[in-house]
Amino acid sequence: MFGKLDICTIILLVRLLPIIFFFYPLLLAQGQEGSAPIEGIRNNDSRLHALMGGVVVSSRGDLKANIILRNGRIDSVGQNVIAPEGARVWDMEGKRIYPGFIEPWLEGEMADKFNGSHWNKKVMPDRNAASLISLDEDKLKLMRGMGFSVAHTVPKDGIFRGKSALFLLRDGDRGDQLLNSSVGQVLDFDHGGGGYPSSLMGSIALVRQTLSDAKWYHEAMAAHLNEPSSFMRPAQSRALNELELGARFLFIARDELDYDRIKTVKKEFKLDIVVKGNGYEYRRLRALKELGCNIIMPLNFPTLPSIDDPTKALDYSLEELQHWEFAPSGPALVSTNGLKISFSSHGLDDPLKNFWKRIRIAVKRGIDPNYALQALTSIPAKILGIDDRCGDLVAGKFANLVISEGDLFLDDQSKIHATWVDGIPYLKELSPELNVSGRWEISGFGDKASIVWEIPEGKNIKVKYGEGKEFSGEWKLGRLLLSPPSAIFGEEKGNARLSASFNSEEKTLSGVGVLSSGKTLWWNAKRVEGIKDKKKEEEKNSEIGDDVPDLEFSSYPAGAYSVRNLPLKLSERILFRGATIWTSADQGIVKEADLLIDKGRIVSIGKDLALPEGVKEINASGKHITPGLIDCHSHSAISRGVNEGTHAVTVEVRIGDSLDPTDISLYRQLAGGLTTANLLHGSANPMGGQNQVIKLRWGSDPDGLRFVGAKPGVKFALGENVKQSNWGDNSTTRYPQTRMGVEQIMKDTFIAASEYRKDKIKAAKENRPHRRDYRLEAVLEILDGERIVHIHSYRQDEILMFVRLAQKFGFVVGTFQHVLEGYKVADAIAEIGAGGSTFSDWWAYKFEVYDAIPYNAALMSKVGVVTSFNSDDSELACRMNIEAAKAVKYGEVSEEEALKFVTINPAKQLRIDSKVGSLEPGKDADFVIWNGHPLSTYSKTEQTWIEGVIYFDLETDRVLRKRTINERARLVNKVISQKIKNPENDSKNDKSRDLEEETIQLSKRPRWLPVMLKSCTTITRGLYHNGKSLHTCTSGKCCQSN
Amino acid sequence: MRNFFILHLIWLGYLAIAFANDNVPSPEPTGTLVFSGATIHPVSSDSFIGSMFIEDGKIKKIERADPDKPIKEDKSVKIINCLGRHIYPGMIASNTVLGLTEIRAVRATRDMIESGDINPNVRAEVTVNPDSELLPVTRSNGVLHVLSVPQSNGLIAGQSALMKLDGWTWEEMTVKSSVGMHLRWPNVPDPGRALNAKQKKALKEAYDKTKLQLNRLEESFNRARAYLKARNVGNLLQKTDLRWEAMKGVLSGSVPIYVHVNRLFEIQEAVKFAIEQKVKIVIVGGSDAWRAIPLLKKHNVPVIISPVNSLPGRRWEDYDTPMVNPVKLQRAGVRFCITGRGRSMDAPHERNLPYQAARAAAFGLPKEEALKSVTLYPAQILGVDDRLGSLEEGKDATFIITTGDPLEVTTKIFDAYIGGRPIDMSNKQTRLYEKYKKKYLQKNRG
Repeated sequence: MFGKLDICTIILLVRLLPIIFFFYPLLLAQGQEGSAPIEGIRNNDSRLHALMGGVVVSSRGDLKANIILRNGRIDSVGQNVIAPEGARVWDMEGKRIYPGFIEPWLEGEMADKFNGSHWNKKVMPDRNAASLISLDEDKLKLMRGMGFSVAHTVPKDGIFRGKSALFLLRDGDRGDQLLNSSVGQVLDFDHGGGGYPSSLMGSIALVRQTLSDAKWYHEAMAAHLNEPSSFMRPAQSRALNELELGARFLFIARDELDYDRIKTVKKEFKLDIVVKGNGYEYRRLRALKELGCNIIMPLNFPTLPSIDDPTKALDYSLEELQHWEFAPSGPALVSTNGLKISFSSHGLDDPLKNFWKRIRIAVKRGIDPNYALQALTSIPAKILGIDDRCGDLVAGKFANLVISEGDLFLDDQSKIHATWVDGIPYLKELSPELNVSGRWEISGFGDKASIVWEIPEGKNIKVKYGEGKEFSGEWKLGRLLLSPPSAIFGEEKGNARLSASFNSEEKTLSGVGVLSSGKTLWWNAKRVEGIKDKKKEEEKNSEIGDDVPDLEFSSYPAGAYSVRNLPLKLSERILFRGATIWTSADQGIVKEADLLIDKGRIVSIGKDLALPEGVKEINASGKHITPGLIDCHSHSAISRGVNEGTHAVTVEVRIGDSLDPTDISLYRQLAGGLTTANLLHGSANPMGGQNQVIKLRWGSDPDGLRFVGAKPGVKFALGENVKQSNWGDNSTTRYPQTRMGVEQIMKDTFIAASEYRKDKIKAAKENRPHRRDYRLEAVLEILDGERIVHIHSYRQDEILMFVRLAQKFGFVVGTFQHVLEGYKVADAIAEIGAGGSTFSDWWAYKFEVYDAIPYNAALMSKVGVVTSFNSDDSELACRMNIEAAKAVKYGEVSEEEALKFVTINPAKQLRIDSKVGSLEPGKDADFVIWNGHPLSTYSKTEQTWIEGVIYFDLETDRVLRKRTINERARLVNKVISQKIKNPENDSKNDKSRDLEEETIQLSKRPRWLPVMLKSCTTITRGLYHNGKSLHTCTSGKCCQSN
Repeated sequence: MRNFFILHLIWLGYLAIAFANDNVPSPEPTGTLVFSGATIHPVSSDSFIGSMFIEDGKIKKIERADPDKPIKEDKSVKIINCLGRHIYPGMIASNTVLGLTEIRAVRATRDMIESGDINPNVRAEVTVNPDSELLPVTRSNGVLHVLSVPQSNGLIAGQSALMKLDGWTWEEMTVKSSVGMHLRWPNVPDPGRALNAKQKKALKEAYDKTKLQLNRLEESFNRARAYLKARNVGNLLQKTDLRWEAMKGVLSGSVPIYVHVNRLFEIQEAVKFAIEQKVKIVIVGGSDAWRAIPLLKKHNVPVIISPVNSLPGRRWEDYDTPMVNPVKLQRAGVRFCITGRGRSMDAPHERNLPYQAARAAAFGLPKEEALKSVTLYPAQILGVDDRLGSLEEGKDATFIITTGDPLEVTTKIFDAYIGGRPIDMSNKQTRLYEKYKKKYLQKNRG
């Protein structure tokens, strides 16, 4: 009888009603002592209340007690407390009373535009949530609906987002609500695009610089005020002035690796921090323990994976399925590991519906309900510094309470009945009871025998009036409207129209009815029996399984090919027998030779080595062993942006700040024999960022990837990319636009750094505060030879220009990268002892590489340049041995020398050749076992070892594959059984569900998909991506890396 | 050493460049050429040491070496001593943009994508630049034929042509046209995959858009059919429509549709589409093809695996998934061949075709199958195996002379013949190499 739209409208209406009527303020705002004149009649409601006979809940346990509230505070709590004379008495029999809950993270829109005072628009430490955040009526009602009486409000957007504030969620003006106007400074590494910074590493660099600036500003200002005549006043800055390093800092962790990044900043500036988490905490317990701070946890558990179509289900990674299963257990796991957490409703799409559901799931999954209570009360009260006033039900605290029917933490049927804020009660359900299910006796239709109607539970109201007969009804404007067939009332045809309002006291319906004959009468209905809500009992949670998964997240990273325990101990001594060993050293290629390793180092290589006692022997006859391969140009394992391509000079950014050990490329490249990689900043600007040399220690955390002792480096770039030649017609203004300008901006920066050094020395001599400039400090490191340059270059003119620049300023060039016309000026490259790290045979993807030739490496090498092949591509990095073979093909390089192009030569270029790159006694036991000739296209890697630990092994790989398949099957089955249990969740054939799905909560997770934005410098991706190379831009259409 | 660079610097800063190689196509040899003493790898049968006779651009005879019957040289028979050398058929790259672009980043040199999303009437061969510097580089590594494929931002890209990498004009170079009508099957998004309401909305929109696209595709086939029917019955009012004219071959079954598609879901959809439309189909890309083996076998759908050297599409997949894909197809008896990725940025690197096949061999494809997958199999799938793909009597004298297995990087390719004509193996890169070797000789370095 209703069209689709009508049904939708009804559902919407029914679903909105609770919100519309929810927590209607019983009393209008009652003022605290204020200075504003009152307009109109004063509201002086009684502020003395006695809540009698309820169960008072606290972390100390349940207690049946009375509570007296006076003037917005708890006056007394106790079993024997009696209601004071004149108090309004509330019967709390059968109800539970909780301390008002505290929302530790409420992100709000800013009511007014903020005019920042910092040069960078994303730095707004002087912004204040207390004055700018908008807490409208709807928001207040929503928060109170979940039982919150206090919220910690946080400004949206920005890196330094500003100061957060604490509000009482009562109505009234700001003054009535505000508890604390400066809780802490909110920090987010998400850059939000639009100018510097455009990458994670850029954000971190900006945070570092800004914190340092603030420190300097305060010192410089103090020095100036002490001796105004000798110390110049720093330029006034409201932003820096309001940024106090001693204050509390609230960091937003957007993914599971942000904890490490936060730790770096925390240590460097000795900050007092709180972290707002992301739901992946359970994977990083050790990092969190090291971080040692309170964590605000969202309850953004993922919804049921969509695996109906098995072909589409292929696109779910194991990691996602695991997260679906495990995330609800996260709070339990985190809390039992001695970490303090508090819960937030932040990020839930329909929090009113989902927040408590999810709390109860977390409880079912093992978090102690008492702890969960603390996570909503005493813990947030403490971290927000209001534990003296909030978070418990004892005398003296704010009269913030939550009244419920049923235990909110355990009982799925429990409901919040009222939330009191500051002594003001906000009651629920002034609207008619919506649940009219049950058996009703109808009267008022004359002498007809009493009619019995049955209304089953459900969102759509259906009235059954006989065997298999039913008609429907709807709520409109708080009334129940029915149109039963007139036959029921003895008339022949047509429908009657009845409307009724519900009397919640008497549990009766009564109203006017018009029969089809036009006869009008009053009718009454009395509920004779409620129908037990069967469906609701089953509902629980349809998206998330209740059973605790039998899983431990001891392995890292999550998902496929995760390594549980590293297979071998470092101390193990092993002798590999009878292999062809390519040493890439003086020993050359030794046939039928043995390799002895101990404690992760190479002991000896030779024929028929004696087998020392206690040494494990491995037969490697017929195999080839080479040094672990080294890729001198990689962009793998970098999170959220490889380019800080906004400014022309961004030497302050560090690839090392954004390492991503979850990148599956690491495992795939190990499977190709790669053990070391030089992670470089992209080539979008002339002076890019600091590099990070890593070892491919798959399974470690970010720090575990670093190649300790590698020479620090930096990426510079020349040519088409930095002058934005292929970025489109809009990118024509950034300096430089020509190769002429590229030289000049580099020269300018080096000179600026030298002059900065003079200022710095002078300031130190005079004991005067000096502003540390991270950008120029990094340039100084380059000038001092502490940091070597890896210069992206193609054409001979620019290569020569850079050679001359290096000679002029005396810095060290580690490598010319790509250097595809290196063969034209190899003598100049050799002159400054720089390396050449090139592609084996790439060319013609843009104009500046049209003269590239595959003989480049051979020619450079012959002229005396230390030459290597690099990948610049996640896929190519899986087969660097084949790249090496191309040096044999093009230019007659010997096989032994060709292998050096991917072993000892890149090691020399990166200044790590004392440790890796060749097989020699004393060096790291980084090597690869091949099933055949390493330069043969038909060969493949059998094992890859790093420091005596096996990181890839064909047999283990087979086991891991099987585990992946089994794990996927198990999880998919679990999803299916969850779905069968809750067919309602299946939205396939139900249009109305579709609408609902739009509004129901779906987990939000931070995920940066590889997207190409207008400005090509913002290609970023988050964790657990599919490993595809970001190389969409080799053509130079967009700035990437070559 | 003549390089014809014409630089037009227009006041807007717009850069247009004409590119040309200076390799000279050789004249047709007269008489009979005998390549003797080489290890001959016919591909279609076992290898042996023997001699190959070529005449009029065709293979006249291949015979095993017989010391009792020496071959006599005379006026019309010239013997080329190939002792210790190996002879293989020329390799065929079956999905490339060669000829259609010179430098992808330079807009003026991009001729691979026509505007609009239904372009059945555009033909690749007419824009193949015989003087492209990319072609001599490609053939110098033994890749002597390439399928030049129009690209698309939409659905129907156009008609591909098989080109031999030798000739004065594109007409001379064209071996077969049209080989196929190329279709880009859109990826169908799954709104159920959304992680939040906002994403769901976006995915739904994308899904609806894709559905509309697929409707357009189907409708274009229906319209083509209706148009041809109207023309057939001699409806004089029916005016010419180039698009639907160009689909005649496809609808009559003489030209297959080449569907560029990778994921299982879309492969299923594409095959279903071809069955419903009663047209022949070839899958190009096909990274999930091994998952669709029963379907592909049932309908005898060939797969051009493009490429082998790639990463698994999904994070959880085995690292060798792309390499094992052809192994599984071969074992199951699905017709396949191997080629590179075939994007415009890959055009300069199509010479690495043999190493795509070798990689599959490293992961289990028998070596002789790997060789076939870049010679005989592409010839069969592209419908030119009567002339190309193997060394057999009567086929084109199109072959390479090498130091050994061309699938090994370290093997050198000495010579190549296309239709009996010797190929100049030098190219822009070898010329630059020679030039700069001289620089260091002059300076006494290197």
